[in-house]
This record gives sequence, structure tokens and C-alpha cells, in this order.
Amino acid sequence: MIQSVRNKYKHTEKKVLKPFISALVILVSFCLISSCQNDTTERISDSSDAYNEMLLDSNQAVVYTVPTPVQITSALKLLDIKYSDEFIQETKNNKTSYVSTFSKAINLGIHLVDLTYVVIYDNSQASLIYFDKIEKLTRELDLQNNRTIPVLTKCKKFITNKDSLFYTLLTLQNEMDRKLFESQKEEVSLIIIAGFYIEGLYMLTNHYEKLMKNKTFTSFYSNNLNNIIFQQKLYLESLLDLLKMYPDEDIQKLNASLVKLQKQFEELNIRYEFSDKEQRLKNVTFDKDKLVEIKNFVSSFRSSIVNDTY
Amino acid sequence: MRLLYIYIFSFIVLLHILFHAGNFTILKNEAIIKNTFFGSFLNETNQGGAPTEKVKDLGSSQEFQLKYFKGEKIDSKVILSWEAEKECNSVSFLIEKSFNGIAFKELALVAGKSKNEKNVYNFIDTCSVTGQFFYRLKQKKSDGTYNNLDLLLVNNTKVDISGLLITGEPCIGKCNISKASLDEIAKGNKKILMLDFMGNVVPVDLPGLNKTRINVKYNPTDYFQSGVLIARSLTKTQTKIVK
Repeated sequence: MIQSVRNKYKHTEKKVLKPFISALVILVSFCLISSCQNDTTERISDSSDAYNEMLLDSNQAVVYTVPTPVQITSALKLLDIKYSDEFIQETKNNKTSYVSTFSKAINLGIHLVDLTYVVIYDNSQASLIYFDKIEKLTRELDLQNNRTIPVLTKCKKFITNKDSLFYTLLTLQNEMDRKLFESQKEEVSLIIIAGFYIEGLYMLTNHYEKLMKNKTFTSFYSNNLNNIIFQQKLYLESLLDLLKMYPDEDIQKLNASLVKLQKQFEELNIRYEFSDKEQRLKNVTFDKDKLVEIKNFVSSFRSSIVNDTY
Repeated sequence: MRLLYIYIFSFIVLLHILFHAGNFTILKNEAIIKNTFFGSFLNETNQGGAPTEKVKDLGSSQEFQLKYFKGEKIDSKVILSWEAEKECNSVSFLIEKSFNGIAFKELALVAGKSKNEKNVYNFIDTCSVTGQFFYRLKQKKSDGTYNNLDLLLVNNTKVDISGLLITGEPCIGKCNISKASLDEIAKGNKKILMLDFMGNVVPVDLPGLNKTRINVKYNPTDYFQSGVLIARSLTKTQTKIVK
């Protein structure tokens, strides 16, 4: 009897508790969702604060210099530095399919630099490989529209004509940025620029090392390459300023890696003079033994991005 | 007895190690210096940032010296001049010219003068139409090989840009722009001075501002110029929500 009452009570208890439990689950879920939303708001607020902190006042602006995909490779050619196929093996032969927008965007930046490298040194076979990869990445990033598709077609047409290709590539970059800004994805544009930066620095420091090892590093190279190294430090500072505005996890991870790189640049202890008369930067010097650390860091960082293990 | 031999042998080995310890240390340090990426470089080039340019002649013990390489624009001509010293292995100088910095053509081969005196050389490029040119000076050595000596960027364009510039000082890396200047940028009336990739000060076109808070622009006709990015502060309500 007692047992049956207990069972009955238990049964009633279940019946009564069920809606309470359901309500509790809904309430907890709601609280969790609300807390997530609060978190998002907080992150947006952080972003705005970082932005306002940077620019001091509303409606003011900061002008930054940012790298382009053709600069380093053009500079290597200008300085009569020999082509090195080993530096592009990893990207040329890589079959990784990139999943996230971040991976696609940063690898697009890297591959655009490599395309300019093989074109400028007349490696037409590799040019086509890179072009196909770039075309795929722009499609996956939804960067193709009625303005960018004709420019991409022109790029393929001019794949062996350096002058026309470079002009077209920079035009393509302008159009892609426009598309990204219109669709409010300006952070993707910055990630592509970060790709230019990483690949450019990788190319620069590896060629620097090769010149050293071959004992062909004269002051002709030193004077010119040091200027370019200094420019990379400025680019890095610009990128860090800009990337910190975006709270996206991947971007913040990238930012953290670039902060490490910035510390290594600080250790270079770069000195320079500015000639008012000639209106140019002169005598850029730094502690060269520290450059090896930057080269090692950027090579490993770049490898993890290309293989999507970052 | 065997143990005694082992003890004596070990003692001799120990003495040998102690005696040569200093030498091992030195060898170790030398190896580190050689293996250091920039170790060998330090002895080969001018590290002090002195105004004169010293280039090590790789095939000779004497140092070839290029004091300067400069270009002066006079009307449609460019007068190139350079001073060299200790031309031990020099046969001649090759001047190359390029419109874009990537495709160079041989412009002239100027014969070297003497071995150790200071020599000033001149060459007049009469085919300089308006625009920007790169000149590359090379030393042709007695073994037939070439050594790069210097690069020169000459801008032959005569444009009065004084009224268009936001500031007379170049921006190194980044610079703040006032609200008044932003309006001028939006109209396309203003330019700003920035360092190009090779350290030259150049006026750059700025991207116009629209509703987005970041605008970037690349100059497709100049491969060495950096992209220019304007980041604008908006009010908090206008600030785009980042996903």
C-alpha cells in the first residue's frame, strides 16, 4: 500500500516537475544566449574603444602605408637578385583546401605575392599554377563580381606580360577591396594585406640569407635591402594598429603572432637618417645578427598558414 | 696491473683535455660566428652608415670605392655622374635604364680611366622623356663579370604639387589627418607626402572616403609605392558591428 502510494506520488511528482524542468531548461538556455549576446556586445564595445583610442576624436583619420603584392618581388628584381625556386616550393605544390574565411584570405595574399614572383622571373609554368589557386580562392571568398571577373580574366591573359599583369593585379586588388568594403567585410581585406606582408617578409629575409651564404652580399644590397627591412617594420606597426580593431578570434590570434614579430623587430634596433636636402631615407642600419630570428619566425609562421595548421 | 694502466691512461686524457680546453672554447666560438646568419657579413660591408659607399671587390684584395652616383635633370636630359676610386679590377662601367624598375636595358658602357686615382665620370641621357626612370650602375671587372654598384631613381616630371599637399613633412609609417583635410581628400584635392619603398619621398593619391571606416588604394602604375590606407573614426552608433 505504502509502496503504491509512493509510486503514485512519484508519478504525480514527475508529472508536476516535468513542466518545471522544461521551464528551467528554457530559462537556462535563455540566460546562456543572453550572456553570449552580452559578451558579443562587450567585444564590439572593446573594438570601438580600441578604435577611438587610436584616432583620438571622431571623424579624424589616420593614413597608413600598407604592403602591396608586387613590392618585394619588384625590389628583388630591381636589385638584380637571382630567382630561387626553393622558396616557393611549399606554396606551389601545396594541395590543402582551406576551410575558414581567415585561411582563404591570408593564403590569397600569400599566393598573390608568389604569383608576382614567378611572373617577374619568367616562370610561366608556375604562373599558371598560382593563377588557378588564386582564381579558386577569390571564388570561395565571394570576391568575384561584375567588376572583378573581367580583371581576373585580364590577369590570365597577361600572365606572361609583367607590366600588364602587375598593373592588372593592383587594379584587381583595388576592386576586391572595394567589394569587401561594400559588403562590410573590410577585415577580410586586412587579412589579405597581412598575407602580402608575411610572404613579402619571408621572401625578403630568405633572399637576404641566401646572399649572405653565397658571400655575394655587397653594400649595394645592404644599402637597399636595409631600407626595405625598415619599411617592413612600419608596415607591421600599421597592421597591428588596424587588426586590433577586430575582435574575431582568428584575427586576434594573428595579431598575437605579429606582436611577437614586432618584439623581434624592436631587437633589431634600427637606426636611420632622413636627408631633408635629398628628401630621402638614408643609412638605415640595424643589428643584423637579430635578423635571423625574424627569418626563422616568419618562415615557420608562413609554413603553418600555408599548411593550414596555424 | 690492468687497472693501473687504465688509471694512468685516463689521467693523461684528462690532462690533455684540461690543457686544450681554452683552444676548444675558441674553436667553438669561431664556429658559432661562422654559423650565425649574418656573422660573415659584418666583415665585408660598411656598417657605420658612412656617407660614402664602399663595395668590396670580390675578386681583389683592394677595395673599390664608389663615392657617389647621382643624376641631375636639365630640361629633357638627365646628367648622370659618379666618382670612383681604386678601380683595380674595373674595365668599364655599365649603365642600365628602366621605366618600371623591373625590365632594364643597357644604356651605355663607359670605359674606366685608371687604377688608383679618384675619377669622376659623366654620362648624359638625352632620351629622357617626362616620367620616372631607374638607373642602375654596374662595374665590369677584368674577368668579365659584373658587380652592381648603385641604383638611382630620377623623376623627370615637372609638377607643382605645393598647393596639393596636406603637410610639407613626409609621413613615415602613418600620420593623423585633421577633419578639414579629410574634406579635401574627399574632394580629391589633397595629396600627402610619404616614403616609397626605396626610401624616397613621394606625393601619393589618397583614397576617397565613403561610408566605410577603412579605405585602401594601390597605385597600379608604381610597383614600389606602398598601398595607402585611410582609417576613419566614426561615432559609436555609426561604427560597423564586427561579426
